[in-house]
Parts: sequence; C-alpha cells; structure tokens
Amino acid sequence: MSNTTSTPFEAASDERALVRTGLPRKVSLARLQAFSGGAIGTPGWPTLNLHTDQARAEASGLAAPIASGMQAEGYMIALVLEEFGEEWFNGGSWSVKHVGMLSPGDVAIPKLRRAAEGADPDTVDIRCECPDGRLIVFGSASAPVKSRD
Amino acid sequence: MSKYAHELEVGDPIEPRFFSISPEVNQQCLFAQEDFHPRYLPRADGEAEIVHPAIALQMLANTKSPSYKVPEHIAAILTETYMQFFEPLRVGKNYVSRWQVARTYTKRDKPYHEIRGEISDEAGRPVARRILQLAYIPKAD
Repeated sequence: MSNTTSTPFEAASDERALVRTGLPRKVSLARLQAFSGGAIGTPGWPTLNLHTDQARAEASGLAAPIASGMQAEGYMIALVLEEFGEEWFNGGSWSVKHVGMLSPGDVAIPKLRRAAEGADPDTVDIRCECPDGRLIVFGSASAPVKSRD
Repeated sequence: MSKYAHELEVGDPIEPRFFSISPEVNQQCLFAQEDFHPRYLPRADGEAEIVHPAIALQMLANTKSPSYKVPEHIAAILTETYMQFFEPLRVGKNYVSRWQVARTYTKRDKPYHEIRGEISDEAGRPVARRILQLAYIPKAD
C-alpha cells in the first residue's frame, strides 16, 4: 500500500462543512491480538498471523504486525452511529478504500465530514488517518435505505 | 479437493459459516475497538445487546469460510469494500455467512476478486451485506 497522505478534512472547499473527530485510538499489539487473534480462552490464543505476531508479520515482508483493515473500519463506526443514530443499522451503508496500514504505536483518528447546508444530507465523508496525515481508510457513509432487495 | 482462494472462479462453491456471538466475544471486540458504548453491553430489560459492527465486518470476510485457504506465498489484500446493514446483529442469535465470487479481474497486473457476502438470520432474512475487492499478491521473500 502507498504511504498516502491526505488533504485535511478541515481544509474542505466549503468552510461551512462540519468536521467531527472521533476518539483517537492508540494501536497496540494487545488490541490487534484481541481483534484478530480469535476468541480469548481458545487453546493456543492468539492465533498467529500477520496481525498478531511479529515473526509472522516479518515472514510476510512487514516490519511489524499490522491491524486488519476491518479494525480500522471499525474505528469509524462510532462516528457514523453518532451522526445517523442507531437507525443507521436499519439500512445504512458505507463504501471505503483501504490505502494505508496501522501498526502498534500508531495513533488512528477517525473523522467524519458532513456536507454543508444545501448538499446531500444523507451522505457523509469518513476517514481514518494518523496525526501526521497518513491516510488509512477513506470513503463515505449513507443514511438508511429501507429495502433489502 | 477445494481450491485456494485466489484460484476460485465465478460459480465455485464457498462453504458457509454458521455462528453466534457470545457476550465474551462481543466484549473482547469492544476492547479491541476501544468502543464501550452501552448498546454493546448487557441490558437490564433482557433484550439482547447489539453485536459490535466490526464483528459483522469480520464475519463477512471470506477468510471466515471453513473452506478458505491461501498458499504460504500468497497474501490477500482488502482494497475496497461496500457494506450495508439491515438490522443490528444481536448477541446469542444464530446467523450464517455466505459468500460468492461475483467476478474476477486484473488490475495493475494483479489478480482481483469481487466477493459478495451476506449474513442472514435463522429465518433467512438478510441482516448485512458486504462487497469485497481483494487483490492477491506474492509475499515478499
């Protein structure tokens, strides 16, 4: 993956756009293992893979274990639920691209940008980035659509 | 013998995964996500608590299929994804994840799969859907 840095959300062309910043997450090996290592209490926990184990990460050509992309997506969920409420579970959606990786010691900051007044109120921009601007995941989230078809 | 994940073609079977999320597994995810919202914790009114959505993301990864396998020299990279919920998953309820290879394609000389996954409940109603774009690349030596 490329070392992509982002244009700050705060530098949106429309200054009236609301930017909401979520709780910064300090990425740690313990939390990576909790997410990607299987259920605690399983014999041999954690399952060894490139998310949970240094040796496995190095065998995959990585300098350190990396967070699952889904773990980074999960950081943004709290913000999306703050924005749309729990009703978002009843038809809400999102679409994201994974462009960066998180390792223990990194800080991940989820952000949400709502369009300014007059624009589509049912779609927001979302991203997860590091304090140095390195972009991890970005995309958009949308309000519920009722149909299951 | 089942195929490796990167060898699958449209129409090839992918074994479904039946699952139920326990309170312990759910709370393990809360620690992993640093998200301890009360909606994910046991309730006084007896209604089952909501499963953290990150678990639904995991259960919709094709790696959760019992038939999933990749050779040691291949890495599967998630590049892009779409996700839709129809209702929240609940702790203790029974669900099944199913997948299909929707298409295979090449991008920047790398093989890709588009995998469509769906979680449904015991009544067969869709609860969540996900579309994954996966690249298969050789691991570095």
